[in-house]
Amino acid sequence: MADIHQSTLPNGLRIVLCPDDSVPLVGMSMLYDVGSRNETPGTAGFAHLFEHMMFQGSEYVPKGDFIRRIHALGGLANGSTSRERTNFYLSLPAHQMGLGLWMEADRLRALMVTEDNVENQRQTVLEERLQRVDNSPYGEAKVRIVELSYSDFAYGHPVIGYRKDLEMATTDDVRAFHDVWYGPDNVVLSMVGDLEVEPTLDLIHELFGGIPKGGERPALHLSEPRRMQTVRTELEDRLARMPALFVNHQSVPYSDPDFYVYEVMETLLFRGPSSRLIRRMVIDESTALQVTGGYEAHRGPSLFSFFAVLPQHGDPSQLSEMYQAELERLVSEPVDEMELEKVCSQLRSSRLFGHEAVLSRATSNARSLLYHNDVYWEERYLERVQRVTAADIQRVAARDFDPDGRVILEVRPR
Amino acid sequence: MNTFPDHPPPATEPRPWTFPSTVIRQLANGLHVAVIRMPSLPIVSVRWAFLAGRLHEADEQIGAGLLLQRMLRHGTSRMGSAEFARHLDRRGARLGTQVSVDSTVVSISTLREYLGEALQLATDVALHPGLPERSLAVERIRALQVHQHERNQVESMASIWLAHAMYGTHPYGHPLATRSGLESVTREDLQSLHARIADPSRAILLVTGDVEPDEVMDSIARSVEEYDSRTTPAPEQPLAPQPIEPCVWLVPKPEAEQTAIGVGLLATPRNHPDFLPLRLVNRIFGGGASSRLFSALRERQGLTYGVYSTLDCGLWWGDLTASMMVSPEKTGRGVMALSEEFERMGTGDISPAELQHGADYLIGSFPQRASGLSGVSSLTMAAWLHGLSPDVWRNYQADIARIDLTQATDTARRWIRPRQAAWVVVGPPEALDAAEDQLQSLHRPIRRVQMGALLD
Repeated sequence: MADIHQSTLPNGLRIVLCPDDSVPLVGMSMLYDVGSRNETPGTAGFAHLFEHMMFQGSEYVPKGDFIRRIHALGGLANGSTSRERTNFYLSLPAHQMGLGLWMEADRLRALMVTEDNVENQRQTVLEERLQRVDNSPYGEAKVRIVELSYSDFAYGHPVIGYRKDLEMATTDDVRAFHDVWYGPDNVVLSMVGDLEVEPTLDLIHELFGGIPKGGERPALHLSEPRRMQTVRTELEDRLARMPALFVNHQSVPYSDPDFYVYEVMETLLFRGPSSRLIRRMVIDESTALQVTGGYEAHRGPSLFSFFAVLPQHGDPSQLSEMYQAELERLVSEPVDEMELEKVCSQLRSSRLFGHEAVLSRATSNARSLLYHNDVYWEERYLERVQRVTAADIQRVAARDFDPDGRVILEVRPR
Repeated sequence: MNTFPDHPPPATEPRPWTFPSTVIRQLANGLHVAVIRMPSLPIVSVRWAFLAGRLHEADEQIGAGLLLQRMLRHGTSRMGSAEFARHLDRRGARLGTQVSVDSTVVSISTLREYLGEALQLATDVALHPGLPERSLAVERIRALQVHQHERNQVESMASIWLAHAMYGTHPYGHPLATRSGLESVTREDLQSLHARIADPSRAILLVTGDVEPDEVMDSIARSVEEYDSRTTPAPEQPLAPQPIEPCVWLVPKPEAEQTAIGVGLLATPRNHPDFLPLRLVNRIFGGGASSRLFSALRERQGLTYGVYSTLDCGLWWGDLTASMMVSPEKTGRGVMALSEEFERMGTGDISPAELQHGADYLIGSFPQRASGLSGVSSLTMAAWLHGLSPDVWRNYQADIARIDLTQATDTARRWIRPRQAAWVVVGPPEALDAAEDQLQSLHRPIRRVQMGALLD
C-alpha cells in the first residue's frame, strides 16, 4: 500500500499527504464539501458560480493573479463543480508547493467579493450555460432527464443552474455562500508528489491553522422514494439532427456494499469495444451511433444511466426495450468467469492509467476520504471488485433494473 | 493565533529533472525502433507512427482518412472485429488510432504483463488491418451522421471554414470529410490509402513504460524486422498554399444561440527555426488562462466563457488561429475586442514581464507534459516525425530560456500580420446583420457564404 498520511487540524481541516518522488511535481486538491446538492430552490447554480468567484482575488492575491502565478511556474490550476463537491486543483513544481498552499489559504480566509466581480462572473457563467446547454444538441434533454429522475431538488437540478436564478444572484448571496460553505472544517486538502510529510504539515499548519471554522451548515435531508411506475417523456430538440434516448434507473449510493457490483455492471455493459451494449448496439446491429452511460454514484440517491444517439430514422422506443432486455439478461444468464475476469482486467488497467498523474491521485485520495471516510479506499477498490460474483450481479440487477422503475426520455429532432 | 503572512513561503531547492532517455535503433527494413524506460507503474504503451496521412487522400475522397482511422479499430487480417475487441478488453488494453493530415498513429496501452501481445496486436493493426466490408458499411453510416451533426454546430462550422479561408483548396485546408467523399470510398480505396501510408521504412515503433530497454530491444526488433518496406514513393511536399484572401467570411446559421468567431493566418512548419519563439508568442497571446486574450476578453470584459489561440504546425505548414463563442448580441463587440488584441500582438508590443511569464510557463510545465507514458511517447514521436534533433526534448527548457525580447518581438511582427488574416463569423443572420457596421472597421471585404458547398 502507498504511504498515505492523514491528519486533521484543530480547525477541522482534513489533510491527506502521499509522497511520490517519481516526478518533481506536486498535485494538490482542495475538495470542498459543497456542490449543487446543497443549493435550494432559487439558488440553482450558486455552487458553480462560486467556483468562478474563487479565482477573482483575495487579500494578498489580486484578481487574475492566482492562475497567473501558477502558470508562471509551469503549473496548472482550475476548478470543477459537481453535485457532491467543488474541487480546486493545481499542480506545480514540487519546490514551489508553498506558493500553492499560501494562495489556497488566502482565498479560503479572505476572498474578495466585489459587485464588479460578481457581475463579470455571472456573465461568464451565463455564456458557459449557453455553450453547454442552450446551444448544445441534447443539452436541454440532459437537464430534463435529471429533473425527471429525482423528486428531490437537491439532485434534481442542473449543476450549471437555471438562468433566472443566476441572474438574481446578488453580491450578498455570494458572500453568504462563502461564509456558510467555505470554512476549513468543510474541506479536504490532499497532496501527492515529491514532498516530505513533516515539513509539509508544518507549512499547512502555519498557513491554514489560524483560519476559523466556517458557519453552521444546514443539514442535508435527502430522500428519494423508490420509483414504482415508469415515466416516459418526449422532447423535441431543434439543435439535434438525430434522435436520442435517455434511460435512468435508480441505484445505490457510494456507501452501499453493492457499489462494487455496479462498478462491474457498468464496465460489462459500457466499457470497451467488446462490452455488451457497445458491441451489440453500435458495432453489430448499428441501432445506435453512440452509446454511453453507467453508474452515477452519489452519497445520496444515485442512478444507473443510459444515453444513445440513434441513426436518423432510428426508433428510440425500440432501443429502450433492447436496453432493458440487456439489463434483464444480467438476471437470467449468470455472467461467466471469463467475462468477469475481463472486467477486472479492464478496471485494473483503467485504475493504473488513471493514476499516472500526481494531480489525479491527489483528487482521488481526497474523494476517498470525503466520500468513503477511508484514505486507502482506492487501494482496496480492486480487491473488492474482484470479489463480485455472477450471483451478486443477478441479485442486484433483479432488484434494481425493474422495467416499471425507469425514467425514459426520447429526444426527436425538430 | 497565527498571523497570516503577506507573501508566500520561499521556494525550496528545485530537483534536477531530465526527459527520459530513449534507446533507438534503425532496422535493415528502415523501421526505427525506440524504447523508453518509465518504471513507476506496471504499464506499457506500444505505438506505431507513420510519416504519411490524409495528404494521400484523393481530392474526390475527402473522408477516406477518417474512415481508415475508424476502420483500423475493426480487427486484423488474422482476427475478426469481435475477437479482436475481446482480445483487447481481456488485457485491459486501449487502442488508439489517428490518421492526421501528415501522420498516422496506432497505439495500444496495457498492463506490463501483456507487452508481447500488445506488440503483436499493434503491429497487426498498423500493417495488416482487416478493413472488413461489413464494418465499413457501419462506419460509413456513423461518419455520415456525425458529419451531418457537425455541419450544424457553429463552433465546428467556424473551424472548418477558417481552415478553408486560410489554405483554400490546399490539402491542409480540407475538412475531415465531405458527404460525397464518405459516400464514395470503397474498401479497395481504404486498402490503397493504407498501403501508401503503412510503409515500415517511413515509420517508428515506440515502446514506453515499465521495460528494460536492454532486455526488450532485441526481441522487439526480431518481431518486426521481417516486414519489408513498401515500394510506394515517399510523400512529396505539397505545393504552397495560395496567400490568404484577407476578408471576413460571414456564415449565417439560423436559430443559433451563439456566434462563433475565428481568426487565423499561416505560420511556420514545426521544424522551422521560428517555431519555438512563435510558440512563446502564442502563449502570451492566447495560449492559456493567463494569456492576454483570456484576461481581457473573459476576465475583464465577460464577453465569453473561453477564448484561446492555437499554434498548429504540421510537417510542411502551420497556422495560428484564435477563436471564441459569444452571445449573438455580443458579436460585433467580440470581433472588435479580438481584433484589438490581434493588432496589438502584431506590433510586437511584448513587455519583459510577459516574455518571462510565458517562458516560465513553457519551461515549468514541461515535466508535466512529459510525466506519463502518453506524453513521453507523443513527444518522442513528434521529434522523429518532424526530423528534430534526438536531444530536442532534453534541451527544450534551455532553448526556451534563451529566447530574448528582441527575438520574440521580431517573431511576432514577422508572423502575426493582422492585415493578412482571415476572419470567420458564424451565427444567427440577425446577429451578423447587426454586427456588420462594426465589422466594416476591419477594413476588408465582407462576404456572406453558405456552409453547404464546402462539406457536400
